[in-house]
Amino acid sequence: MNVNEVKRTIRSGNEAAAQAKTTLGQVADEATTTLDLAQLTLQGSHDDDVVAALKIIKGLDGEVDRAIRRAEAAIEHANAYLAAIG
Amino acid sequence: MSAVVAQLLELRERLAATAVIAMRAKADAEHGHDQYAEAARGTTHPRLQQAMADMRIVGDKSARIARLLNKARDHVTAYLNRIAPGAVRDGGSHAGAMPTGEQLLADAERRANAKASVGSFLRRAVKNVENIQDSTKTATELGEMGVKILRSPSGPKGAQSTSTTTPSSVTTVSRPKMDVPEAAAQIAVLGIMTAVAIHKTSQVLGRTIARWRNR
Repeated sequence: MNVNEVKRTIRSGNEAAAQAKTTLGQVADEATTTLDLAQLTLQGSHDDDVVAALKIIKGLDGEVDRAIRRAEAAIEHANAYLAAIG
Repeated sequence: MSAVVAQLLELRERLAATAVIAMRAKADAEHGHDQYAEAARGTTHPRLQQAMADMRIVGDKSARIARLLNKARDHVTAYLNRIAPGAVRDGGSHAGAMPTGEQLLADAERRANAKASVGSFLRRAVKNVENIQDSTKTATELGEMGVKILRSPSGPKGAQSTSTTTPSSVTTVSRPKMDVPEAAAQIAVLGIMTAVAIHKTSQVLGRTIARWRNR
């Protein structure tokens, strides 16, 4: 693989990383809507399953944020390598 | 209670559909990782190694998010089975990482309904009514359920989608044969429309009477 091919492959990797970010953004949006619906429906219930479900759904936003930041870090590292090989 | 059941079924569906999206993010991340790995052949440059490691973590985290969503769905299913036995048709089983046909279908359907309004929620509610398959339920009860959905102050949150994808045209398959749950659903919709009509008529009447009194 010559340098140009390497660059092309890395850019393609960056595109996939950016796509992962976009898809994770959709997950975050859906998670927010789902939390609204869950709270609307399950408000005030002390049922163990309800409490567990709400706890998971509330934590999703943070999980997704961390994944998105990792994808951003990956792109940053890949771009640094692109710059290094000229 | 039936309104709560319909909303819980909707919640289950959304959790499953979101898990499918999370699995797509995992696939994206894996593809990115593989591309970086291919470019990294013959080099041990730390930045490229770091990019690969990060992308692997993105994939793992996406899979974890999908698992969490399925776990939340299991809890909702367990709760539903306790408060309304028989409301969940498939028993809430899912095949772990691989999206089931039902999940994919729900995902596609939700995309088609991205521009959803009360109409879409009703369509889903109708489907949920079919799932309930409670033949003892009267049309009046079903109508009341619909009215509750319409009257809920902030409206069903499930009816709104924040998806950024362009919605394709909503395809409603017309079925020539009408089965019993469908007929019940039709009556339910009719009940809602009647209730809305009565409500509007009483409003108009109220205003007319008020005007007449003020004369």
